[in-house]
Amino acid sequence: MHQAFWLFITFLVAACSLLYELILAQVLSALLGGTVLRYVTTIGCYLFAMGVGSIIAERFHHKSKESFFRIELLLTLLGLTGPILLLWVHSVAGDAVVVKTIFFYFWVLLIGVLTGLEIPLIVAMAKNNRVQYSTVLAMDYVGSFFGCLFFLWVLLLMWGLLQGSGLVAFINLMVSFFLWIFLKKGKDDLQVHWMELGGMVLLGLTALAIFFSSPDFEMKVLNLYGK
Amino acid sequence: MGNKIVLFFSFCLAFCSFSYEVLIAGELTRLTSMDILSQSLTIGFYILSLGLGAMAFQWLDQKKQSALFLWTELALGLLGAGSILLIHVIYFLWPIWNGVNSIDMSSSKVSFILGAQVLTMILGFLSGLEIPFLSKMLDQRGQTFSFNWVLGFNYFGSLMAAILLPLSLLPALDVWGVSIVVGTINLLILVALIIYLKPRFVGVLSLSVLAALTLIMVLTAKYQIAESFFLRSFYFRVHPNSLSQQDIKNSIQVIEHLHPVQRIRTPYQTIDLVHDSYPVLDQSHHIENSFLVYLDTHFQFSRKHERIYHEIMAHVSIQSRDQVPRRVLLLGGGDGLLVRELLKYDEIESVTLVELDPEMIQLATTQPELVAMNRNSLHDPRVHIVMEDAMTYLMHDRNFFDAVFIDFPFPNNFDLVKLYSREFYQLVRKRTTPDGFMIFDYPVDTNNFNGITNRVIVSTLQAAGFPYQTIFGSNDPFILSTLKPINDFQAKQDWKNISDLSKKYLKYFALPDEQGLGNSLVNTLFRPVLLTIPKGGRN
Repeated sequence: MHQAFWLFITFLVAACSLLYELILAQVLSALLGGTVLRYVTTIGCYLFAMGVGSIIAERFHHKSKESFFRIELLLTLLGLTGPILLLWVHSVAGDAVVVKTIFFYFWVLLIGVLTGLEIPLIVAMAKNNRVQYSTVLAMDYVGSFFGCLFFLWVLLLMWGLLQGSGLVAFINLMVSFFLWIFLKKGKDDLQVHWMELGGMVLLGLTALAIFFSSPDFEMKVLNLYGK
Repeated sequence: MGNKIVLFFSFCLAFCSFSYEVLIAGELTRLTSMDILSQSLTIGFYILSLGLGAMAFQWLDQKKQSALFLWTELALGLLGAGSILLIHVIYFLWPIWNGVNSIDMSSSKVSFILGAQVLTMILGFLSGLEIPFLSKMLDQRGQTFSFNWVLGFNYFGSLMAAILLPLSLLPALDVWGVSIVVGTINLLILVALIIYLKPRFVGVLSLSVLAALTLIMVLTAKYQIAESFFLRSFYFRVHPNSLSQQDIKNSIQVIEHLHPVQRIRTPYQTIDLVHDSYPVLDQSHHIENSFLVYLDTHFQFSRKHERIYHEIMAHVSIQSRDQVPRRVLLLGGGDGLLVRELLKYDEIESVTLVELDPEMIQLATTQPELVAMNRNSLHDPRVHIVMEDAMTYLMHDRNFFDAVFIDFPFPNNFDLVKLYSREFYQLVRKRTTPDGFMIFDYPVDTNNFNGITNRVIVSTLQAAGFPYQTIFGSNDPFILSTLKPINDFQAKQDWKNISDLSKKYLKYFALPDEQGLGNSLVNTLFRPVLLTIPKGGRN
């Protein structure tokens, strides 16, 4: 694959992961209160998990393409269901603050570990294309930069957290899609199970449905909150 | 052994770099009161320049990489330690380029934030060189997967900064102190790197590090003077007219004659108490002889005008109802000023005050000026103080209240905007008795009643289940929300407990013609549309 392909993928996954994290941090700070503390611990957990992810990444190197493909599918699933699930747990768990807290941070950690795996795996996959890891790292930063500004200036105000999470999940899914399209043929081609393809279609439809849902739907979801 | 040291370097350097970003973003926020713009632009430019730095690494001359890296760390340590000082010097001189007295204009603030990003970008670019260099160091030692490990420890370092800075370092020291400490750590790591790498030019480098450490020591000894100076310059708006020595000297003289500003840092906010007991030399910079309180540099109240505000808020709302409420909930307002007014009614049995910041309560019960203003109201047996986030409190509390007073800062950032959301008002509504009311202060657009600001507020309140709204107040109006319609009380003249001065200021405002905007523009937890709407200041 061309170098530009890998850099483009890096850009997209970096932006998407940061967007998930910002969406979750926003939901958490809204739900748990004590905002400064919560926000800091969310970002802290996320960074910690990314560190863990990038260190355990070498275990996946022998099947880097398949692993990366699955990681993207998983991230799409986690990011898409995150906001609604957190609200639901919040309404079900009631006063059981410990249960809520553990569940919330578990979700943040999960997304963080998977995100931490991404950059090392891209570096491993792109090795044959003479892509420098410093370039991949740079693209990762550029992607985060766009993700950050996009969240604050566009996503939050135009679509809000719920519709926004649908959009981000869909873009994230496009990464899996591109991988499948461009890597299925080749010397060391990407092996994709038909169930994974089915999951991809299902996730894509759900993401689009959430993105195009009306503000009234968001109101209904948020009504879980006061209960 | 050697590898572990490299990972330790990665950890520490990331800690320092991320700390610089946090410090700069925080200081820009305090100087401009533009929370979201400062924070987002600083983190954005920081990450972008990290990327540029990482990208630029491959173009560096292979042989000179380690030399460049060491000089980079020297520059980072020095710039980082002086970052807060630099930002204040730039802010002090900024009006020269934009015209005098322009510092309050938002265009000038935006250009200042953008200008300060040069500093962020230099720091980010230099920091971006770190990971590639450190992984190369491991590569040369024949380590596999070195890149992942360096990256991992880099994340841990940033995590350390993200947790330590807001939770322990910033409350314990202050922004200046933290910048100096972090810069010093950065230079100590450089010393360790020099010992570890043993470069050929060790003499020149060591001398430079010594010189840098000396500079930082001077800054440590003098920074409190600088901090106090720039704080006064900020609140009294004293800036030089030009870069000429005479002008700068004049402004320095003016500032030195001003009463120091008292700054209290808490984990939740920065509380500034501005005393203005000395006459200001320069008439154009004169603020009224008063005592003013600012939260996160947003104006809250002044001794001269707070009566009008709190009298109208308490008495007009209470007397608009047929009965005086018995149980009152007050969210925010730990200053005790509104409590002073509420206690004037014998019918009020209890006032539950929910305040997030214990330091605010501490001030309101001990600080002489504040205690004199609130007449020690917080020690009244009818007042129950709860130290908690208002939203969390509303979620678990099961009491009902006849009146809910809300006295929060304006929704300037994400933390505050959720306290103006439909979900928040829904929680309040559940705790309000059928005849009860809720009142809060919001910058209603008094020039354009059908403007977007007013309609978003009305639709948010309606979506939360408060069908009736009344707007009144002095120049900064209150919104009174009820479940039942309010009898026409606007003709009422015989207000009790309200001074004549406040009566003179009391005005009634119209509601938007078309009521709300439906669900399309409601401020919710998931879609904080209020953030985009311009908000006026308080008097």
